[in-house]
Amino acid sequence: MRGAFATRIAYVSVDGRPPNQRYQLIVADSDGENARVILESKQPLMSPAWSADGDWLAYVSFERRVSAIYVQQVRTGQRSMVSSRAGVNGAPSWSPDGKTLAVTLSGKSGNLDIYLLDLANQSLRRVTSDPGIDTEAVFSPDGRELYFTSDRSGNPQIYRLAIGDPDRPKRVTFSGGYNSRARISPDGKQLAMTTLDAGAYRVAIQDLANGTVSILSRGRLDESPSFAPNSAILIYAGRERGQGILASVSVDGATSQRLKADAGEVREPVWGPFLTNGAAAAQD
Amino acid sequence: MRQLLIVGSMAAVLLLTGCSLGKKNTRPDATAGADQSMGAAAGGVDSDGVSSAGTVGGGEDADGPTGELLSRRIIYFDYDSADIRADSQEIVTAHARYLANNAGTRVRLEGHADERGSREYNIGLGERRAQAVRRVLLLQGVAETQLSTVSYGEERPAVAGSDDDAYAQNRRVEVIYPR
Repeated sequence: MRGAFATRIAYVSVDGRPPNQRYQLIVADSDGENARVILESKQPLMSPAWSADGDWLAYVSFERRVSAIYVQQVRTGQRSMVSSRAGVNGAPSWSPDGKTLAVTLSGKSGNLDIYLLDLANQSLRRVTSDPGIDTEAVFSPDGRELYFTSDRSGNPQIYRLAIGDPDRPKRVTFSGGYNSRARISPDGKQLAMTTLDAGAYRVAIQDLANGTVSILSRGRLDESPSFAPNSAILIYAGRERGQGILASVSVDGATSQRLKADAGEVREPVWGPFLTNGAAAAQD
Repeated sequence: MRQLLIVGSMAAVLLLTGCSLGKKNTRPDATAGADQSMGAAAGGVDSDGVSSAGTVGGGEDADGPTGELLSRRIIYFDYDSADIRADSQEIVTAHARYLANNAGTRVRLEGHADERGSREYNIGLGERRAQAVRRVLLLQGVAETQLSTVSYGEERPAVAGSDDDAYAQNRRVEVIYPR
């Protein structure tokens, strides 16, 4: 089995006090070493997402004072804006083949729904249509399904739909009153999410076969879990003494660890895939 | 925000000349219904919000410090809610009135959330809040072309901190009059 630490993470770092803050998008080794800033902005940067080949990051930037989605090649820094429609442009997530982004758009009406954006021809296909908030879509590893957050039931829960299937999305989470931002393990067996547990926001996983939910973190403001490519470890963001921190935990809950992070507030860690060439792959 | 005080005092003059004077209604009974209906409005029903909010505006600007209302540019919200609270109705109404009387003025409505929960869902909450204010402004005669919205979710907190006080100050819509 290849080691999880022969891989990279991306995350957002923020310094300064509101409202004068500086946002950085950072790529580092998965232990937090060798951090490199790939984008800096005075306006918010959020929601980084790796392409399946690890060459590209999609993210949301407010650099034009409105939200827009960009894709950026990590090695060259080459970037392009792929969605800057009226209203919300958010929550990008790559299809496994790298051709499509699932995105959240609101249009002028302000109703957030999920769309598939074809990166080659910019065509859009709407996949949810509900007056509630539908957002935070992520593809299943086989690319056939989308998991997403919706508050159509009155509070945020995770739903699943089969792409191209006209059936209504099926609710996946039933424990507790707040379950959001699903991520699916690369082996397809587990769903990680942010859950409200006894008044605290924590990282949880749900076994997709039998529905069992396990709470994996102990903070009060833990969020944004992301699976390592070996499906055995999650990285997530939390807060300690007023600072954003990154931590990792094994999916069995047995081991957890704080990651090295420099000064500044860190958030939204996302674990990249195994690299197909270069030094990382050579360490297998 | 400082530079906006001038606009605010100009608006006060306009409002004082444009409205009849009367006793300020400190009991927001009239707005309770509107508050409820705005909850529904998040789901798409907003017809009740029109008349209730309009009624409030008619009575309350009267002897109140109207310049003070217009200089209040932040509308606060409850947890996971986009209902415009009774104590904010008069602020929204004052801006609606000013904008309806000044068709060349544009504002930007910035929706925000507190830090709890996931970030993109919070973008949704901020957008819902900005839209709730936008709807009331439209219903009170402001033109669509005068309004733009953006949601920052939890990304641009007004204050730092992870307590209820900070959260209450961060769940908001800011009415921004461009320079």
